[in-house]
Amino acid sequence: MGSTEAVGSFLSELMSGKVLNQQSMDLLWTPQIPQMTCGLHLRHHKGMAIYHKEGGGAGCNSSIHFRPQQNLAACVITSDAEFDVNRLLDQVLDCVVASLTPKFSIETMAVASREKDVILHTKYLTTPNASTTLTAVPMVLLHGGPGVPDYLQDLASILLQANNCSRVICFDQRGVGQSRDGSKQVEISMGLMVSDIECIRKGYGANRIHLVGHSWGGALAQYYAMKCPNQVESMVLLSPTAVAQGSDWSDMEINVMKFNAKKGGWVNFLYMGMASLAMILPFQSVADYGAQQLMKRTMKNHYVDPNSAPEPASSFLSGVSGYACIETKMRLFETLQLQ
Amino acid sequence: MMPLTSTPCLGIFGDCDIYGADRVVSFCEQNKFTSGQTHVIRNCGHLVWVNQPKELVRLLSSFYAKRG
Repeated sequence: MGSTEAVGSFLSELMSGKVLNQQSMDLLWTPQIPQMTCGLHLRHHKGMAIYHKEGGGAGCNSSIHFRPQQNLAACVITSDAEFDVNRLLDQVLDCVVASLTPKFSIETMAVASREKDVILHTKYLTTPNASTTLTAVPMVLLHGGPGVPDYLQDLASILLQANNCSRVICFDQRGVGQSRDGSKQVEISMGLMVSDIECIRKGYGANRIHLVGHSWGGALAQYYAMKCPNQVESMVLLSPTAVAQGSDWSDMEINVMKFNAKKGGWVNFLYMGMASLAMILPFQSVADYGAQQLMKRTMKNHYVDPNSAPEPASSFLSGVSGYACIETKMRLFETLQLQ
Repeated sequence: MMPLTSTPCLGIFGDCDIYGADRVVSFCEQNKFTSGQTHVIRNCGHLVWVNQPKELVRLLSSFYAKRG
């Protein structure tokens, strides 16, 4: 394997029949001898559906993979019946995806909040194809949670890759990830969060922005648009929470608890209950640990198939804050009741 | 109640979202006096860009094409 490009070229030739001749393709698709077995399976890899047809027996092992979401397919045949062909194909196709994904420029910038009480860690993703994008106005992505660091870089890549825009800004909201100052608990309010977005907008020299909010970030996007309507070009709300009255959020959280109990079983549910209790204890390290454990479990249920969900990265979990999670929700409830 | 503004708005939900379908009804109720659009994507959980990236790109491209 010389390079990911070489692998892509090889797979392309493979699928066009230049590497495998018709006889071997027929053998791959249809067992020609009774000792061989085959089956079509569906499983998940990194949250994606993978269809694969496997054939085995008679001293060989083969598999054809299809990734409909990525328009990719590949196959492998080995004479070693014990060889893990599916693992190899997962790795090879991941390499192909990486090689096909356009490279973006990613810069980081620290932006001071208006009150100078927190330094906001921002990421600025740009593509050189500015002239062909649908909009020249930059996009600001607001992550969900609350209480977790930014996780929207993949979404930013999709927006750039689809030529929707040429500039995307992601950031850790106050009190989480790299926008927290060690053990110091920063003040949190909806007003301060709006002023943080304003500081970032001005810091990047943008007059207007497109907002994209996911989950809790959808609620924050709406609140920002309400307070600063002249700065918002448009809003995209992905799976937004708390879009209506505060009571809706309570109902939603009860439903989520029931879902978690059903999906993960009562032992897991009790563990999550204990983690929730730890979050409200007045010891930061305990509260953070509780929030991290809770997120680790609930985030798997964000996938259609929780069993396919990847483990959250330790760098992500270390940015989770129990205090920011509780405090942000309380301030949001207060704000909703005042509306 | 958090009112939606007159800002052009696109709401996208997954039909398998852990946070429930009730929010879609609530969202549409809020959105009916604005220029907002709402879409529910099938076989999609809370992470739309992971579960249905192609459909998401289709919806976003259509939305941003009108914004310029």
